[in-house]
Amino acid sequence: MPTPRRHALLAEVPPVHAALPVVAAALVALAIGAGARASGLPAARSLVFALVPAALLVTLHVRTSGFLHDDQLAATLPLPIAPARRFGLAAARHARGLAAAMLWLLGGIALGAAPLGLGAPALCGLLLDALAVGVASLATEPFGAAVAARLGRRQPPGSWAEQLQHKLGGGWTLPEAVVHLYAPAGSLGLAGLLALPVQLAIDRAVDGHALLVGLGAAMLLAAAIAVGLRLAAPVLYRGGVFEAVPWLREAMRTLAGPPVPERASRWIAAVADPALRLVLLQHERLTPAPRLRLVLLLATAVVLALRGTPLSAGEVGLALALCALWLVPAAALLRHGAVRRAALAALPVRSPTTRARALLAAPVAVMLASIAIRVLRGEA
Amino acid sequence: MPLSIAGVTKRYGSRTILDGVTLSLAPGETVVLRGPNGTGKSTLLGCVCGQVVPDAGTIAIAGFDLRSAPLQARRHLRALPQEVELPAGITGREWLEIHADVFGAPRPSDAEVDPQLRPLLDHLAATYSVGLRRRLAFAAIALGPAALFVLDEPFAGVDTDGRARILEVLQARLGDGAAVLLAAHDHELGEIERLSPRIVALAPAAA
Repeated sequence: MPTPRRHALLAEVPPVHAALPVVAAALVALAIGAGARASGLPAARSLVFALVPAALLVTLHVRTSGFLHDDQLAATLPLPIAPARRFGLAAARHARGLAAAMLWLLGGIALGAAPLGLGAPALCGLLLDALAVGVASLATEPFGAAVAARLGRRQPPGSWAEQLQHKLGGGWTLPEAVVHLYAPAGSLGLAGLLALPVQLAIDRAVDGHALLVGLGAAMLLAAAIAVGLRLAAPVLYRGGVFEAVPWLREAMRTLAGPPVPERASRWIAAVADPALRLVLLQHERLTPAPRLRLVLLLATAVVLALRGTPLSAGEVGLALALCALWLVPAAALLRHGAVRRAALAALPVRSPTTRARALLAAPVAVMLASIAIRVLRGEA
Repeated sequence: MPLSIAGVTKRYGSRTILDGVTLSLAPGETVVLRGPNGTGKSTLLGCVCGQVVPDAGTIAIAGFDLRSAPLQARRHLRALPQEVELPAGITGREWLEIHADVFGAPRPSDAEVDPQLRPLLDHLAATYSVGLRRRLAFAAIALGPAALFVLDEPFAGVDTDGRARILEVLQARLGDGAAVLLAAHDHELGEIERLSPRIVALAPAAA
């Protein structure tokens, strides 16, 4: 049988989440702008080091979902499409997504650092620091997806992999889904680690220092590891994709836990508008730890509003990070929007979208108000 | 009049699917749409449910025009689509409660729920089998008073017991003055006979 040359279904990019790289870049620009104004180039470098992997993590699912998560992938699983072909298509989409995310991030960094009046070498150094993480991610993110394919399966009883699944899952999630909790952050942590010697070398060069031999060796080792991970990824993926995808679908149906979920919060159950209640229920069940994130955001907003010292860059960064932590997981609701709209289409209800967005934005408004209070008090 | 369809036309590009369809359903009446694949049964049902917008013609449910009075029309409509997709993260009980609130009906007690669904009510609905999802979707639309039931292949994937329950509920609703419009295949007609239906055959529209 001839091998099909193109698989349009697999190559399709879902339009949902298209704004996420822009939002992440804007947040990075704001944080670096605030940080650089307060503490100059060293603060800007630290923020690039910390925020670029975090921003890439926010947009990770957009570019890696072609490896295991996409509906199209599950739908085409019965077709005789070789894992190498599946990996190749997903990797191409990942590379395009990563390039787009990096372009936005580089723009955000340049914009955020502009008020500092850095010279061209220092600004280029910041951008290259960020680019180093992006290049490393080109290898580590597909590797993370491949590890998820390999370990996201039922493992032989008593094997190290099975024990690891149970240990890391803490008994509250499906063992086969455990790897999906750790692989995304793990792959970006690894990217940050591999980029570190390169970033140090760049910063030393910008500051007029010579390249240390040890640092050069570390750079070469990091490059070799990155190439090795990229080469190993399709091999690992091939050994797991056909089983990992069905397990992942099962985990998605049960929200990676038992089929009977926790009872909804009382206040949600008491919401009179049934369409809005549906969205709130989905937010509570489909996003991670919503109550914890909300409490963190609101408590920090109160603390920030009450402090007497001038607003610092770190506080702005923390506020923005908590806002992002509150808003970004809600993108899960967008993914399920089509099914929700179809289910409500023939019912006599108003669309809950505007009210749901207002509820979601309210805690962010509280945080912004608290920052505004501090700024106004500082000026007074 | 539970349903009044007048001159409904629907085209996809240059292809005409429905060409001036006119149909009325009286209280207590069942109409079964028959026809080969591609004759527009699901398109017509989609038009009645407001999920497909016709190019021409009017549709009124319980006297309310679907376009000019969309909420009022939908208050009297109960629709079961061909493929039931339930929102993620919702239990069967929550799905029933949402529908009860939407339709202004009392929330059903466990005893009132389809016995096959009862032990699974607190499970996530996405974990149900195809047949159980269909039974849950039907149980949800059966809550509260209604003028019109629109069912697209309601028995697909449903076992004998489930089909009997659906028919039993529909018979009761017909007795209350509701009308039923459904699309079904020939092999299902024997069971649907219990509803004494009028058969309306759709033929391929001229291109």
